[in-house]
Amino acid sequence: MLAVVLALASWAALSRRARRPVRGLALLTALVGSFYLYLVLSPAAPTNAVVSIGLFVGSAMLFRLLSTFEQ
Amino acid sequence: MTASPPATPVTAGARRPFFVNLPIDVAIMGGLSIALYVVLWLVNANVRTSTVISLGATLVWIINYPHFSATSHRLYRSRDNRRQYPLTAYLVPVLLLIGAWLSLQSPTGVAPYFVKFFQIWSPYHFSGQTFGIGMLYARRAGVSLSPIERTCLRWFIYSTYLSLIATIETGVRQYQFFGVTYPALGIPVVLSQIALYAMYALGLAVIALLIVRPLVRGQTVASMTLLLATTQFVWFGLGQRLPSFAEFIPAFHSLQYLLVAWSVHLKERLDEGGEAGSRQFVTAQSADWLMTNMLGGFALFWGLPHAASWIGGYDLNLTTAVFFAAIQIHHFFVDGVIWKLKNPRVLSPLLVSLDDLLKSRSTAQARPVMPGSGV
Repeated sequence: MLAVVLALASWAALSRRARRPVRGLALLTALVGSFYLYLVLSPAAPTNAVVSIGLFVGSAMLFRLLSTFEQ
Repeated sequence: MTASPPATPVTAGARRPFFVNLPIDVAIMGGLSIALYVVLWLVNANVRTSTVISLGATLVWIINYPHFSATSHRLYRSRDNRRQYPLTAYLVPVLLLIGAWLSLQSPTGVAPYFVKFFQIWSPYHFSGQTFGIGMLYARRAGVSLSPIERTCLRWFIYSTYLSLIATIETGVRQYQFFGVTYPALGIPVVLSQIALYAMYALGLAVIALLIVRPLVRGQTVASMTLLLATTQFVWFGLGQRLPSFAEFIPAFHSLQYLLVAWSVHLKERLDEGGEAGSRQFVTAQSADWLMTNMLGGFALFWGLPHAASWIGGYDLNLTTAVFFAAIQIHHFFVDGVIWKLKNPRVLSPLLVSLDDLLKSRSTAQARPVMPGSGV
């Protein structure tokens, strides 16, 4: 969770003028961290509404962010 | 591959509302989808019969797989593209290969979630394409959508995604993909109902803003853009209730993509060669491009899973599920970077029409004569 938050924070902190690969790397780190969270939390999702909603909304937000990858 | 030469710009102001012409563009961008849905709904074909499954399995070789190959072909054939998007071209495939390897090592621990991640991402990617091509058609038709109209259209299209996922991920159930079993997220039913109502509310807003308002004001309606949005609604909003129809949704999505990618490829080849457009050029280049992508699709979707199974001794169903997921996630990344309309090098070829490709003059002919140049 910390890795994802830090990766997203560094992506947001880097200005649009920052080197594009650096911003891209931050997003990829967030993706890898999110997938790990997905792996760990998914088994609990069917019986825990908070986790299932969190994974659902979190995935959609992640895909939205990834649509800015290497832009 | 050589760096791309400067493109011959498509003349601003000249309207080219279609890639080919009205009937073909309408059919490919949604007409065929909607017609098939209506037919299957009328005959109440809500079961995936063996005919449907075998037809779907045939179409993947000539439509679905080539569409993935066309994306990779577009990225990797151009040194400019590879240099412009190094992470997408080199790092993302490495990460996905690591994900695939971990999945093969852990068929019940990692593979189900690797596959599930791709399954949830895929309809989001469809939505992005629908919005992107919709905006492209609006531009082609000379219709400028206001920020509120764009936002409303975008939210409607993505609401179909949210509604779809919220519906199929409700409750405690399991899905299978080539033998890999993965659980639903177990989203509460109330959330899927909220998503459904939001989708219908946004649909009404789109009708009001993009149909009623322009008609009242005597302005042009962005018909093709609306066709794409309607098609998306049929795919995700209605189509899921008809499994026989849902089987073909990826093929329809791929068909839309192939029309755009084919047109852009021909325009770029025309500019690279500096030659004049002609029927012979279009036929030869189209055959070459289609054959390349059919072979590319075969290599990706048959070659990779079989190679991994043969080399590593893994179950073929497992390697198929895992590599299908990896290839498609890579496709989502590549698609996200190579079609950005903000990039003028991308936009110009996207505005071309078949007529341009058949009748355009060569670059040498098109070059203006400069005083004293001796040309």
